[in-house]
Amino acid sequence: MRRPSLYLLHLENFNWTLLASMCALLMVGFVNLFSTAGAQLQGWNSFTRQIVFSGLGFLVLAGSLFFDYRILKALAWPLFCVSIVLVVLAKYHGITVNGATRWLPLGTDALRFQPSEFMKIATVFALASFLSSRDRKGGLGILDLVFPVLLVALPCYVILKQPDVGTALHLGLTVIPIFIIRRIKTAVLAALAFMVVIGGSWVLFFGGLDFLLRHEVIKEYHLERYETFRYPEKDPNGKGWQITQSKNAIGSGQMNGRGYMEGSQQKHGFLPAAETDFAFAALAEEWGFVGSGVTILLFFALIWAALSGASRSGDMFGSLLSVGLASLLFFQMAINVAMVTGLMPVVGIPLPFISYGGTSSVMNIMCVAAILNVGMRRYRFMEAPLRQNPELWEKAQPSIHDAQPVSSLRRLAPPNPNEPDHHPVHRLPHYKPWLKHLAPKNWVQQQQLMP
Amino acid sequence: MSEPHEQTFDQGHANSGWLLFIKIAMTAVFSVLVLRLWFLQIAEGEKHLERSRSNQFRMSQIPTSRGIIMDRNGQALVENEVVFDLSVVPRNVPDPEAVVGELARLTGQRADALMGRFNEFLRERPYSPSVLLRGLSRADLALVESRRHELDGVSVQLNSVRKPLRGDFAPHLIGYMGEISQEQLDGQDYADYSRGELVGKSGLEEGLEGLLHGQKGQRQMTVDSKGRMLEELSIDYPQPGYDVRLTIDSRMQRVAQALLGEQAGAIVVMDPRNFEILALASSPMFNLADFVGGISKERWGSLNEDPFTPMQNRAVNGQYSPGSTFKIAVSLAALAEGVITPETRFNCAGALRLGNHSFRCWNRHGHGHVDLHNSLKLSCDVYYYEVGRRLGVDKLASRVREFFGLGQTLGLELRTEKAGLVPDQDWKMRRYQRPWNQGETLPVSIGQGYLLTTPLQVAQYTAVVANGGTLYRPHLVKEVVDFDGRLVHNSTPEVINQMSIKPEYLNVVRKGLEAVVNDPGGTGRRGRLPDVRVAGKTGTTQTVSLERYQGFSAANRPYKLRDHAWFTSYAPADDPEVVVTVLLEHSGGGGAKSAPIASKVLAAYFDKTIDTNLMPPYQVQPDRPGGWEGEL
Repeated sequence: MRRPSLYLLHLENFNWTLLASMCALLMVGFVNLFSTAGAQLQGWNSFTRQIVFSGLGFLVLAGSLFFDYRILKALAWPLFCVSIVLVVLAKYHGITVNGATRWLPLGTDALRFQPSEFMKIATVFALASFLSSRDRKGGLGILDLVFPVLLVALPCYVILKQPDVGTALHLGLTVIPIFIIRRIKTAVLAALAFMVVIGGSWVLFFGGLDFLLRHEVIKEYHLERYETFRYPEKDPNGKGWQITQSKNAIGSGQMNGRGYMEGSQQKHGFLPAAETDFAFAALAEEWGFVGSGVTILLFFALIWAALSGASRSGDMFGSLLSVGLASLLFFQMAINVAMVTGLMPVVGIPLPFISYGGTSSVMNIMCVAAILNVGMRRYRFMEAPLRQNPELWEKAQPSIHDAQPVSSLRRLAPPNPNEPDHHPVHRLPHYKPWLKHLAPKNWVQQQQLMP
Repeated sequence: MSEPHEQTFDQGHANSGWLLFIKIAMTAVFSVLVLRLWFLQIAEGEKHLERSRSNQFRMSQIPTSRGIIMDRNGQALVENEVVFDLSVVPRNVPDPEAVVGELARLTGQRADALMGRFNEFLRERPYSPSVLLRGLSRADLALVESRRHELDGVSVQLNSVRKPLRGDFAPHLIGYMGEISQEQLDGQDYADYSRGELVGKSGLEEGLEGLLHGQKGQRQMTVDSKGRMLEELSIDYPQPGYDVRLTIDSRMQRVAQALLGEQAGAIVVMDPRNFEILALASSPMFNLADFVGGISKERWGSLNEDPFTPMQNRAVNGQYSPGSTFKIAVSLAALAEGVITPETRFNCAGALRLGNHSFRCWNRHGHGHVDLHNSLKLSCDVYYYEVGRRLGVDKLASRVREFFGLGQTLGLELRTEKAGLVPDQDWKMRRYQRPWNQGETLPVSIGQGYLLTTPLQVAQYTAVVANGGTLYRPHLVKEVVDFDGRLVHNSTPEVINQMSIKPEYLNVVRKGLEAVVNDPGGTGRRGRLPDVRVAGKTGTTQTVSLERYQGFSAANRPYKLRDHAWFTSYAPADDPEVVVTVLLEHSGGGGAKSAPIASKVLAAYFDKTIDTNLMPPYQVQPDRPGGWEGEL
């Protein structure tokens, strides 16, 4: 081994907090699901399935760490196109559940794939890739915003058509921190804020709502859902049922909860979708404020760790990617908890790591994997990372004990001129502006140098 | 170490204010969520715990049993049969297509129809049970139960449905049941009914709904979310409906139905001493058994498109000109007004000329000088033209309304009862905005023109004559008994009017009616019986005044243009105990067609040894898959 030290570099920058908080959340999810799925270990039920899917997610996570995340910069576009196609395909050839067509069948009925989950990640990849490929000092201008906004609007529109308001809303919220981090010119930001205020007041106070209703931009059932959210007691046995029962479940947990496996709301079936969308309510009923608070804290740790990783990355793409994926997880969590506690109308967004859902758990673990990947490879953008770290440098020094018999041919091989440690000129990104377009090719050569 | 290039995302940048801003915003959101949890679980925790507990209380209704309808001898005409209904709670069905498809496959129903019903329930009441399939057979039930584990959200309920003991026995009278309609639910009469309940839709089932229905019970219990009972808390037992004993004599009803046969028409048999209706037959009939468990669309369509209107109860709902039978009423009205005396004679020369129009007698050669007795016996039209001319339409109308209750409903228990029509000058003005012509009085006085009566009303004035001038309220219910056999209500004859007329005048009319049947030359000779003296009056109602059909017999005219045949009679003539009124639609002369049938009804009444089982089977509306084109 000529360079044992590069592994050490990966581990040195590894975001252990992120991984640990994710594992803790997955454990919380398993424990909760074991109760909601009927405490069965044998056979295929949602508990065993969730374990299998999480294991699958972990395999994907472990495997993906071996690849440099910058592969995604180019890969983002085909992924984006494929997921758009899949979402449209799901609309026309998918399985319909509860009036929305979101799932693509995978062989059997039990196995199905929800492309809109994948769509959200692909959009974040594509947006990060696009925004990091331009150099705009002082932030993005109004014209720079046209393409990225279209890039978000297209998947939002396609998902809205399914119809899946929740996922579209989630995607719309997710991209906001990416734009903020990439910086928008102050004047443009002010203008946008002004437009939001004007538009909002038009809708709320100057009859814009009627206009939108007349032209069917907003449908009646959206308003009905809002009404149900505002006054769930009005229709406690009808559509407000879910919210009322969920609040009852959470509230009845009080401080210490009603005890594991003893949540009566959930056990007697009053809590709707206790395994999926309302998993948090089941958890809060059985574990009380203590349990739900700890879960929220774990989420806080997860998001905080992800954002910190983003701030330490030296690469614009990696940074935007981490922020985007962190915000994806954050908003998913926030929308779900707000919905379950009655702060928001009911939209079908599951709670990451806690709710049951095959596609969704694999995707969430993949998000964390990408963030870990970005953090792990930050040394790539440091100047002589080995030499800057005396401990590692010591370890990396070849000693006589490391000497291995090598073939004469290998010994004759010339040192690779492109290696960053060999000369700072070859550090990425290249100082020659025109060479940045060759970055992928360059990157391939870099890869070959990896041990 | 060289300066990092501008393009790179330098160390300083990522820790800039904006990332800090994002972190602060996210922290704020986290705190809001934690505060919300605090609010729900700690501040309002007690309230939610209480609600969660009370969540599980549920009221459920216990069905009651409907009262039985019996004939006057206490023989049941209908029974309640226990059936199995399949009900669903739409929101508890995880996979509607699969479950409904499976149900359709098991029970042999159409899947798309079931799915349509299911979707309707899903829209309207997703969390409450609704009956998807009514009246499962035992075989179907066994199939469904065997697949129960695959059918989430589906439950089987015990319900009772009404079943007539004989589908072809007095279907118009008994009536059928059906699911309560939206209008009924919205109205006042059905306030404590719930959706999907069965109510009477016609006949006595509808008219006596309040007596028969009973009161539902209620059970308070704790349940799980699927509505399965965990613990019973309290119970109100249901109140069964009252049993009703009718005045109907099923033997006479069977006789009447059998004699009507394939003729369209009606027979009313009534006791003149108290106006109890012994039989109320209408033809053609339908089969009540078709309605048990919901009638098929084809059958319903066939019944409604039939030009012979088998669903109509002609005895109380059909309105016809009474024809010459009305002469009984006219003569009594004229005697009471003093326009004529029994001795008054008018000359019948075959027609009466009024203005430039001549009103013809049915006998174009004329009857010569006739008095009241002969006018009834011969049914002389000219005599009654003259009486009507002298009496005037207003006096005639007020007298027949007062004496016989014509032109109004007298409150029979059937909701379809029609009032008929007794015209007068005011009515003409209101209806046509034209004054009354004297020429219009003359047809009315022989029971034609604007005048309309139901067969029941014809029976009423016959009965008034028969019992010496008393108008009672006609009724079908003899007594009402509760579930334990205690008498709730006993109907006593209720006098509406007592005719003020000299008894000898009334006697003359009764003698005239006796002569109609028994004297040589009487028009109703075919109504006589060997042992019992029958009195009666024939009537032949023209349905068209076209000259071109004048000379044609009934068989040679189109069906719709044939005359209605009436015969109304009572017996024995000196002490009447039964009134029989027969109407045959579009069949010909009253004396020729209806009188023989009435005499057979009377014979069966007086001779109990006549075996009604030997009578021809009833004519029920036949299935006509080809439709009704070209039938008439």
